[in-house]
Amino acid sequence: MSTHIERPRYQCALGGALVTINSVERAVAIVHSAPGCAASADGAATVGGGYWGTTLTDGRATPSTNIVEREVIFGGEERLAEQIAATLEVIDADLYAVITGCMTDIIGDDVRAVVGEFQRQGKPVIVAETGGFKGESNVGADFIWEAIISQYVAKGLPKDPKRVNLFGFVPAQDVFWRGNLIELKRLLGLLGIEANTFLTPHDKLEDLKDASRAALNIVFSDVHGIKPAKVFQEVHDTPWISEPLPIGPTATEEFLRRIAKRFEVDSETLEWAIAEEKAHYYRFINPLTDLINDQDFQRFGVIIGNANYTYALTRFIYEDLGWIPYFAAVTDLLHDEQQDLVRKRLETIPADLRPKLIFETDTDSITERLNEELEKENDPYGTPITPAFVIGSNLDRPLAAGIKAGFWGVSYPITNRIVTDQFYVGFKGGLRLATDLISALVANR
Amino acid sequence: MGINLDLSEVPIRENRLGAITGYSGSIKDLAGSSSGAGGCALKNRERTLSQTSSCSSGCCQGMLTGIRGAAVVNHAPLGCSGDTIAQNMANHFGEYFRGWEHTNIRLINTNMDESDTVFGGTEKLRNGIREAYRRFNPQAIFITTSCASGIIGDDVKGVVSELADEIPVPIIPAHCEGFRTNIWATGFDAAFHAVLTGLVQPPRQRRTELVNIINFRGRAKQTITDLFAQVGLVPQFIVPFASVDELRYISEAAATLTICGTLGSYLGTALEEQYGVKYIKTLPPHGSLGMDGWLTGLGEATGKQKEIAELIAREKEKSRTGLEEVRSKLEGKTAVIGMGPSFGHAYIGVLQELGIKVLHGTSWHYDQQYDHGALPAATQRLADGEEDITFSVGDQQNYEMINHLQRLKPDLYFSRHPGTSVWASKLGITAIPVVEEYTAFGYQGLVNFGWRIVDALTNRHFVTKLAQKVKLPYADWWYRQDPYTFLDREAA
Repeated sequence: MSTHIERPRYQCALGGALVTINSVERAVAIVHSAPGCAASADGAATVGGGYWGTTLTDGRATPSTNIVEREVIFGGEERLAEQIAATLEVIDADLYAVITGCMTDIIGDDVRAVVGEFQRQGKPVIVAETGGFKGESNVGADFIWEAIISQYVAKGLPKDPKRVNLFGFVPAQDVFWRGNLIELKRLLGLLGIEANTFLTPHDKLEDLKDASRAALNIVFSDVHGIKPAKVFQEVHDTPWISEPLPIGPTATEEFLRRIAKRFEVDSETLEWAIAEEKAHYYRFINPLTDLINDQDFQRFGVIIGNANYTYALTRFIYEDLGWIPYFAAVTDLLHDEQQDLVRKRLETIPADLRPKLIFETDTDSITERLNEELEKENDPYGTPITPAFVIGSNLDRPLAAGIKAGFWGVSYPITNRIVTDQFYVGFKGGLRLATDLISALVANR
Repeated sequence: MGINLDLSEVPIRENRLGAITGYSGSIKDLAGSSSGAGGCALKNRERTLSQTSSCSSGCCQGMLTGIRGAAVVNHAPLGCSGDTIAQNMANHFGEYFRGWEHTNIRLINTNMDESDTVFGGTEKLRNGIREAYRRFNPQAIFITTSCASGIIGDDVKGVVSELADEIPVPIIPAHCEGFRTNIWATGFDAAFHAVLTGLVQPPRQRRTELVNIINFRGRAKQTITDLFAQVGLVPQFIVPFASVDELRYISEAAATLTICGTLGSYLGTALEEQYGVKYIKTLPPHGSLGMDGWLTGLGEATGKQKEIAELIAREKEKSRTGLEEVRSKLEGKTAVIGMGPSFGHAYIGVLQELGIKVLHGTSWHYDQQYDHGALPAATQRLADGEEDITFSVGDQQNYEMINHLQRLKPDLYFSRHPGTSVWASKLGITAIPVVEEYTAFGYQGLVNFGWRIVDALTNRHFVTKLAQKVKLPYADWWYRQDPYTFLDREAA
């Protein structure tokens, strides 16, 4: 049985679907739920996502049926049909996605039948049942991707051997999704591979419509976006692979080598790309060594974040930055098989540098678990991980203060700075992360 | 009339106050037709196209998570606690300017999932309450409900009585299911009903110097404390940032003021009816005239008419020339306003004091009467004014507002709720969000607010350039339609 959660670090399934649609160009959600669901989910994601803000038809402009007690009793299908028809008139978009909330899923509105009527008229309307009780944002993002893939993406297109789709990103759950996707697209471009990213402000809806042309789907997660990738394979016959989020020179080089091998990129192109990117990283890290050495900026790492980031961050700090990972908390709600996948990924880290891994979403429980670990340490000074550094979310600042550790927020929610096009993936993202972490240590000077 | 604290749930505003979310007409018609003015009572008009509004649970939890020493158990799927991110920030902000330690709000969500919607979620609620007690060691535990727990009919009351012997602090349900009401302010009432029924005790004594101030974050705490000290009164800011113990004895105060009539109606009226704490029903303190009304009401309630009349005269004089100067810079500017009803109606008055011409007003809902039975004072003032302006009621219906703005092309757009002003900016209209509750607070606040508007108009580059690059989501067709195309003519 699932258990209670203190101050969740995500929205509900509806929220994950909503922010995914909100990130797709000329797509609009039609929320079939109670009056406040869309505003609450969107507000949480856009504020907690480094003040993402409104783009086109989101925020207070989100169409929503705002159903109340009457519809609970008499059903909300008529209201939904009326709302879809009016939205098609008033909102200038090319994809309309009906997503549902707890109430409509519990009372059992036949939303597929309602939407089916519009689909028969040739209207670009899709539907996903995303009742909030079905899970958190990542689950909802999977639901809407499955709907997009099976109801919207064109079928029967010829494959382009150098084209890939990138999946596994949930807007705001990865606060840096836009910058990360743009950088991954650039890196793959160096190898002559064209990547569809779908969720950045530069993307075009037509690339989503034609997504079935891709020869491969790359899911940058062990757990999120996997289900949609499987649906994609079934419906459009495109295979998929799962890749860890590549942060820093070592992880990114390995990533590029794996991709180059699969796509038979010539070695000259590959070696050139890696050499150029790596040189950039080290040309800036090199002079930073003065500060890192002189100030003894090696730290014990405490990593708190989602499944995608926890491994990627841990890997970067041990493999490139030379820190010592001590404790890692994965805050997503994962079922056992998903936990196993995340655990296995972390076990690829050498034992002496592998952090203690826990799956825990409660901020205060993470603190308790960390303290339990610390008490087990046989340390005569009572400070086994001094000096420490916490890479987490804004909610983890009290934890960092409690162990007198440095702190930097990378995971949702981030509310103490603005995130626009920053990114942490790749060589340049690693440089950015190193810069941010060390900056936090000198911030009060 | 009258507030009934024996009820387990507060009746929704639609039923209690004749509150509506759909209307188009004029402010004088609105006021004259209201039940609170002895009119035949307005019927709500519904929309066939709507955009998201807000949930009463957000308003309810916003109040309850702010109480020092209390914990909240949100019996809901996890998404209903998503907006605790914002509540946590509001908490940090309030702690920061009070010089308090930085803490996270104390809330547990029961994480109702699919099987709970089938088999019931009371076991999770029970465990959630136990865990909240263990983890936070609170002096009181509030339970907030949700659409999911409401529809499946979880027996919250039963769980509370079961745990009464086991957990030695009050466990108090606050019913704030989002689907019960279109009016999110009902969530304030739900929170206050919980505070009134679960915490507030009969007075042990009457504290003639003590004045409750119902507000949100209390940014003007020091200013008001200093102001009231001049007449021998002591303000007590409630409900957020007040402690469980302080709230127990708000019944001992001499009077209750509110920054916002929408917010304060239920709690203020209940304290008056139940415990004789005088609820001051005059204008909220926005602008000079608002402050006159607020303080005069306070003087009458506390028997300090003379001292307060002198205080008003002193304070007003200090800002007199400043007001004249800033008014001369704003005279003739035009504006559209969209806010909650209390702030919205009061700020139309504020803008008029600054010489700004209001072309159209919208309030997110409208209470035809407050809990004490009368029309809101701010509405009455507009009804009594010389000028009638076009007015509508809509629960933040963005498409209607954008249609108005595009047609009226005002110099300024004033709004209050986060996320509502940005759309005017995207149209190239200078937007002034009044997020801080004490923005145009009283005499000097009015002058300061005037200068803020002058500053915003002095350099409009950000919005004018933005508007050239940004498209709004609406089809061109929409801008040629009547803004009320989707507002049903037929009364529900």
